[in-house]
Amino acid sequence: MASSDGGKEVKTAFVTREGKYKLLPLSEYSKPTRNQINPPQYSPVRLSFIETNVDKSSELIFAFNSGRELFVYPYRGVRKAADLSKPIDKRSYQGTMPTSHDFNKGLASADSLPLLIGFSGGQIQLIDPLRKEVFNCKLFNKERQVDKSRVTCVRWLPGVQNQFVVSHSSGQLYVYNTDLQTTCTQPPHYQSFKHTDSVSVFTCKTKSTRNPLYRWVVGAGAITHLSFSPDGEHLAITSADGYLRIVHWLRQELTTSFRSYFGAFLHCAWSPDGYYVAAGGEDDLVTVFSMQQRRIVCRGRGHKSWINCVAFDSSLCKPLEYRLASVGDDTQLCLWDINEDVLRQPPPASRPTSLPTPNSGVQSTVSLAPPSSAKTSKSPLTNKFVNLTLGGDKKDEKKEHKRNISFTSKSGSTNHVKPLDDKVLGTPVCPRLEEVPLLEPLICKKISNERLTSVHFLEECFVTACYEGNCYTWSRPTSPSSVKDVT
Amino acid sequence: MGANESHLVKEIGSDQFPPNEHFFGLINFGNTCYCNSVLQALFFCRPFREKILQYKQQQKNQKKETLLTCLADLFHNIANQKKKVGTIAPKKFVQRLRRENDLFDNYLQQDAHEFLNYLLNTIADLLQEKSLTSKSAKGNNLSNHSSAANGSTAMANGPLLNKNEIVPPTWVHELFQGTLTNETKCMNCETVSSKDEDFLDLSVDVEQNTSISHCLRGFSSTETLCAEYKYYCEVCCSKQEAQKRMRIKNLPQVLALHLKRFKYVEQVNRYTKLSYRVVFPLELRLYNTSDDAVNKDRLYDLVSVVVHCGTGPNRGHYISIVKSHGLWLLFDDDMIDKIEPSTFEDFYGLAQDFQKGQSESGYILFYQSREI
Repeated sequence: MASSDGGKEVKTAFVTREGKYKLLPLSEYSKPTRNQINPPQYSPVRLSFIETNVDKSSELIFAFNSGRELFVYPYRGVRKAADLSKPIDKRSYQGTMPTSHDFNKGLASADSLPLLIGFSGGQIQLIDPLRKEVFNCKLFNKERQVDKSRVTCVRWLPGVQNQFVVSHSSGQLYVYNTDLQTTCTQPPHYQSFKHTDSVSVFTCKTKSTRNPLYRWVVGAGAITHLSFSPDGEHLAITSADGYLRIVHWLRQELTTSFRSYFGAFLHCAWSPDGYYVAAGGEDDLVTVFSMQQRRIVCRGRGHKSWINCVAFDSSLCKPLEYRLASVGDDTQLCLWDINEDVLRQPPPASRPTSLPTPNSGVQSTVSLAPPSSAKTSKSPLTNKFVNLTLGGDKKDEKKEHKRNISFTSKSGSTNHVKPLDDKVLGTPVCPRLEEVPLLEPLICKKISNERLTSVHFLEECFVTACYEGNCYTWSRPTSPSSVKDVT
Repeated sequence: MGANESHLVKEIGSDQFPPNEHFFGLINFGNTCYCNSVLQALFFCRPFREKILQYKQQQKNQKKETLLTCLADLFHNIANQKKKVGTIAPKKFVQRLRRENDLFDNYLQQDAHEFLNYLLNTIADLLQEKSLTSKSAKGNNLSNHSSAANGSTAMANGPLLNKNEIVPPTWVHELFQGTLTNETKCMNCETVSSKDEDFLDLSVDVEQNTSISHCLRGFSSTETLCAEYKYYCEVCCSKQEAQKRMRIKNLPQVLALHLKRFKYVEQVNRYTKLSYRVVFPLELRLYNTSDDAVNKDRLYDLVSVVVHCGTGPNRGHYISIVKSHGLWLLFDDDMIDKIEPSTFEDFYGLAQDFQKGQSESGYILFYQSREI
């Protein structure tokens, strides 16, 4: 057990091939008074950053949730110490607590900063930390008629300034328009709009357009995280049912999906070029999926517990070379180098035919039908795969039917969670452990005494957050030659 | 308990209440929650319950009272209640238990894992006795693990029966028994020798802020035998340095995992509890399987958990959380509550070493293979 003893010590610096990363003790952000430990049911601390342009210089602002509170601070980077006495905004809530937040990038300016906040009681609040007096704070799902379950993620729609998507632990996500009325005193009635595989879309059954614009039912478990692709076309949805589903947002169709080795996926992130999606969760593994090849290209093993956050370091990513970071309940940070050797590895030899490779990039593949049905190869294995997917369809339809009935009576219920069949093991959706490369982390360091919930990369540093509400800044290696261009 | 009953039925919803299912709390006979919690966990382990009820059917005329007949009567009694929800007194079972084993013949809190071990082994013994007497004429070579050697490591809680003759496996073995393979590689001649060992449940060391998968991998980490612990290599005919590791070769249908949360501390001359936070997923596969394992990708679903609340093995309280028809229920002796899996967070343990207070932490986990 030498390794575990060595791991007890909390690191404040570590070295990789590009140089030394150092914890900056003066750039630590937290709630101004630190006196109590958050009870375990508190929700993970998340980070949201936004760049605002004041005259010619840009300023970074960030928000984080901690227990019942939400803080918005100017992020003063690596050169200036954090000033905890001057938050831009600080809110505490009663009876509900913030779980997720997102700044509106399209509307952010020097004097306006729309910020969405999702809550454990299911509500969604829209605030503006810079315009506290003028801005009318809006509260969606206030009456909890839309969904009573915990909000797990809120995201503004890319390129649309007045719409956002919110996921709940009930396994549903909703689209709201901030210009429409927020109140909803009756449970909405829905009509089926579109149905593909394990994703169904409903609209509100009313004459006039109202909130929520759409309801999506995704998979068979709580939705844990949402992430839009860099081009805004796709949304990656992680679920407690063990699937990561990638949907084409405008077409409202399931594009592809893949499965954890076991257990829930808790978080996901897109590579900066949108070619890969990384996910982490309850199997203690990092899983990397190729959008182009529609297969899991590798897994990474280094964590000792569940992974709460994954993030690509865009300044160290270039074609066929990616830098990924992950943090988890084990209080460790892992960095992963995913390079050409791994990405170019052919699909496992046990499969007689390779998967059809798309003609070019992500853009063209999405115009195809969902990948499973797009396969026309006559190989028995591929056929089997298709059949299984169809089997899944039927099951989902049945489940859907049930859920529709139960919805009006019990909108917050998560009883519909049913085990999915395990037939996907050994397919590109969930290869066996030995069928894809199993990576070792580049580094794996215990960097906190507390469980880590978030990691976020910035130009000069990266920021980690832990369960108790402390946000740490780590400076990047200083040698200019070692830092590659961001482009 | 009428209020409790209607409350639970109401909470679940009478239309959603699983048909032919009974949720019956067990009355505490003075620190018998160690027993109640394990009985509930086993009752909601469906294959185990079915076997016990089958046994009840087959043994209608048995006069001799054993721990198994008492358990069968108790399960039968619960399964044939008119009400859906209520309480029952496991009086006969507890009396029998106290009569049969001195260890449990008192009003002290006992270790739930010790009780589980005793119960499973006693049932297996009784079934084996029976099959040996009734089938002794037939040459029975059903044994699926002929090379089974019941070693005595801390990891595998193997059958207490350690006979030289091949004993027919019982349904207890069919459900709970798995095989560990102990691989030793001589560093001199590189010969790998392996020795198999059966287990009914696995005891794993716990570490702070880890997952059950990590704890399981812990006992499969490679250990080097050197200095005074050198290994006698039969090829080299001498003591050599060797590498040893233990991996799972045969995965059981029901995987019972015991978290070693009670640690003997010499300074204070008693056991203390390790309340470390160890997370356990609803779904599990094993990482530490041997290369020749046939069912190594087996997917397990969590079906029940025995939770220890409090500070030490001989104090505190045991409760259990069980899954039934997609619902999760918490059994605390005679009280039953519906709970959501999102609240399991409360049963992982404490994330900070300095955290004090009531630690409610998962102690025995029951995972059932999805294939059965």
